[in-house]
Amino acid sequence: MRRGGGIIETLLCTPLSLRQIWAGKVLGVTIPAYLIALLTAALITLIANVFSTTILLPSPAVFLHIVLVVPAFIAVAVGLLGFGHLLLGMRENQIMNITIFVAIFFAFSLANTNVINGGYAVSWAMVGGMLSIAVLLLALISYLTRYLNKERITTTIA
Amino acid sequence: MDMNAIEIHDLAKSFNGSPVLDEINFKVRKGEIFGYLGPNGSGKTTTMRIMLGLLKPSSGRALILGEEPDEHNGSIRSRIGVLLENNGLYERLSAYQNLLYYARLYGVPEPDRVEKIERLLEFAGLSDRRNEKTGRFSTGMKRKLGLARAMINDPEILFLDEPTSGLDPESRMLVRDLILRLSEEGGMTVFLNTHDLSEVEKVCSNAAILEGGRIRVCDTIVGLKRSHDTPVLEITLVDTEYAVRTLDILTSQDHACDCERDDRRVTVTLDDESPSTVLAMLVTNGIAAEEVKNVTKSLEAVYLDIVKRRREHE
Ligand SMILES: Nc1ncnc2c1ncn2[C@@H]1O[C@H](COP(=O)(O)OP(=O)(O)O)[C@@H](O)[C@H]1O
Ligand SMILES: [Mg+2]
Repeated sequence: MRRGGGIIETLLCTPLSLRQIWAGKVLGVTIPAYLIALLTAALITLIANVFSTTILLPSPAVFLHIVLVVPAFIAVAVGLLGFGHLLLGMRENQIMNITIFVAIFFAFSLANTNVINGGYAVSWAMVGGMLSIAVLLLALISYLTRYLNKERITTTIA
Repeated sequence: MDMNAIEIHDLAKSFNGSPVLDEINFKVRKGEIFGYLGPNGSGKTTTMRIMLGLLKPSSGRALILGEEPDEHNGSIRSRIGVLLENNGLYERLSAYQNLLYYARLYGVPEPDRVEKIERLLEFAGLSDRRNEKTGRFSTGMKRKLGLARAMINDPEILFLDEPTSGLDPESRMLVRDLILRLSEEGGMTVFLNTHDLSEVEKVCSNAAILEGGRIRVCDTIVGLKRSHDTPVLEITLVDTEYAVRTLDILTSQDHACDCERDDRRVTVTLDDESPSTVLAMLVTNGIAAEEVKNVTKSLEAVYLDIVKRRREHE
């Protein structure tokens, strides 16, 4: 068996900083995961509409929640996992799996509270608050990437 | 400016207290294809990782293009190319997309990208497969694309970790040709890890032999061959009596330094004298030889000796 370090070892040799590699990973996983979440939410809305006599549409707050808060929290989840990966050497496919699970979980909880119950569980204040928390968490993890080091990454992942 | 591409000074590395590299010293000049030869587990990859800034030396230092490969300094990394055991390719992207991705990472100026990618695809012989996902490529194609990928930033030094291991003979030859072309046409400096002596003989201009975490020899290939190609004569005499006399003659004169007798056979390791001097000596002393063989030790024998010595230690 060849001891292959995976693509990460090649990336560590490019001019990218560890923070940039982390950020690239977050974007690369968040976008497809978010699209899956969006698709799931749309599907559930559609199904809810089929079984309902009135047309159910998300409120503006819920809409903002879907557009801003959901991707931000997916990014936080991916960011944490990506950071854990770099720190501890977790396998990449596990990250992908857990993230997609988290994304789908978000989509369901959202659809459940807001669409199927037809309630307005999401307020403007909540959207603002949750978005701030997500952004703060991302900033914190991004800051923590300065404590990653290549030797640990190479010896745990490679 | 006459600067070495790579300088390694008293480098040592241990993992959790167990030493892997010790007293590593060598220099690679610009334009050399330097073969870092050693059996599996001898420490080749570890040395390369230190040179790439992936690992920190326990002591000593590595200078790449005159600078230490510092973790926080990307400037050295933008000037070198790297092909490790993993080709660094995204299997879900096409050959073209992979090269484009790395062109962006290395900040290849936008107007040059397409032309450069085309040239590298051509170089790797993959122009007509450019839009295929690399996941479907054969091991050999992936390796060639990996090499092209490592060239995307026109590196000043190319680091290759066992570039032909795991390839079939044909791909191995193709990859070696590509490496030779880089050196001949582009004057590229190449640092190449390998456990394959024939690769070093075919591709490299210089080599170091690493064994058990230490450099055993380091020289140009020509120099290595010259210094280790000690001529050895194997003389078979018509009978044992002649063999004994031959040994007496050759050891009494201080000509042949190293003589051994095994029944009718005498093995002479020559120092300065030519085989003909030894033969003339036999003739003048009226010794009848049945067969004289030149059994010169090749570079291969030297390498195998070094590797075997390790096995016996274990
Ligand atoms: N991260 C690590 N932790 C502990 N030991 C290691 C590590 N990496 C390599 N080694 C050991 O160092 C030695 C040299 O390994 P390596 O540099 O990969 O050799 P080569 O590339 O010549 O086959 C081996 O004995 C290997 O087990
Ligand atoms: Mg190796």
